[in-house]
Amino acid sequence: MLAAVGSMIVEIVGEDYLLDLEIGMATSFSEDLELESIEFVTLAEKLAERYGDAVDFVAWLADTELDDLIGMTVGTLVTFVAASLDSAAPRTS
Amino acid sequence: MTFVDIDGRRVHVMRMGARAGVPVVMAHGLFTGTVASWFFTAAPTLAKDRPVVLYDLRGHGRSDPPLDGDHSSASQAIDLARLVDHLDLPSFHLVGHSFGALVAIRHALRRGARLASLTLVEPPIRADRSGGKLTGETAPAEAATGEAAMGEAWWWRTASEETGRLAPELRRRSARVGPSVDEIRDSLTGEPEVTDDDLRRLPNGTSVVLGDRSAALAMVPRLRRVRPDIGIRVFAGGHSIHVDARDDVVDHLRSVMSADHPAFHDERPENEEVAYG
Repeated sequence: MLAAVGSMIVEIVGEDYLLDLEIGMATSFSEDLELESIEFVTLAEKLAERYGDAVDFVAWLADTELDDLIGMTVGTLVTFVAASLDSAAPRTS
Repeated sequence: MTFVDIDGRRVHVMRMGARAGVPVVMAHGLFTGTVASWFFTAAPTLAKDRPVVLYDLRGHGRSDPPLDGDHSSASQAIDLARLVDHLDLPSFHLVGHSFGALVAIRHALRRGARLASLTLVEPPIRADRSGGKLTGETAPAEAATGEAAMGEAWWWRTASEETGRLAPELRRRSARVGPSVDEIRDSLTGEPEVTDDDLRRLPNGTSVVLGDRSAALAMVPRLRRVRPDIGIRVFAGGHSIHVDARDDVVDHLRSVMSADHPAFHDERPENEEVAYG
């Protein structure tokens, strides 16, 4: 999941801007990646295109404080996406 | 990403939220404003109740800039009209912040009949003036600066405040590929102000949201004089009140959108649909 989200970020920001930065779970969107708000929107759109209703990023945003968004790490997003996909997956017993 | 073609330009649109209910269309402010202005503030909560449509104004965010350099509120209102036609929205709530509120005003004056409600967040509406001077009941920033001393068009003060505060963001990636601040400023130099007649013609049920630290507070006496029925809500914050007081703004919007404003649908000849050229 980290690889999938990481490649989306690279696609949005461009490798030239990332320089030597390696995207990991602790990488912050604001301080490390300096992701602009419109770029974060694009990331949300890419998540929606890839995962559809299984990952309800908009509903998650509604329950997230702005300060938490500003300080958010890639790991927070990856964990959210993974948990969403896990809960959406059909249960097998 | 979703784009709508308007006159050969791509307009970036985001649709989210519930599939049923009267939708809300939300317009952002100048320069650093984009769909993100609402996407990270009020839109997600509103999306629980109804469809939400966000879009980037021409020359902002992911939307193409106009080839003729026209960024005026009138041209932006034409884009908005074309957009709601394209999306086939027979009735919708309209919310605008700052310059986006001006776009919403221009739209409401020409096509108000379709609006289920109109909410103007920190709209660029001038304060009352007497003999060329501001009246006594003005916000400190307004009184200290003075219109003449600024030497700028009336709308520029608000935009400049925002630009100055967010200047670092303007130097960054996506801002560099869009039109320059100078191009937008030059295009808006002749922007007409919102007149008393405009205010009188706004649909019933219009509401205004202001920040208690914003110079825009100075418009309150004028609004109360010209349109005492317009609801005014003041929350703790500045010009970006939708960020500073997100929950309060959301509560207000939900309240407005859940209320029945039958007067919006009264026959108001001045608000009948007017075809754009």
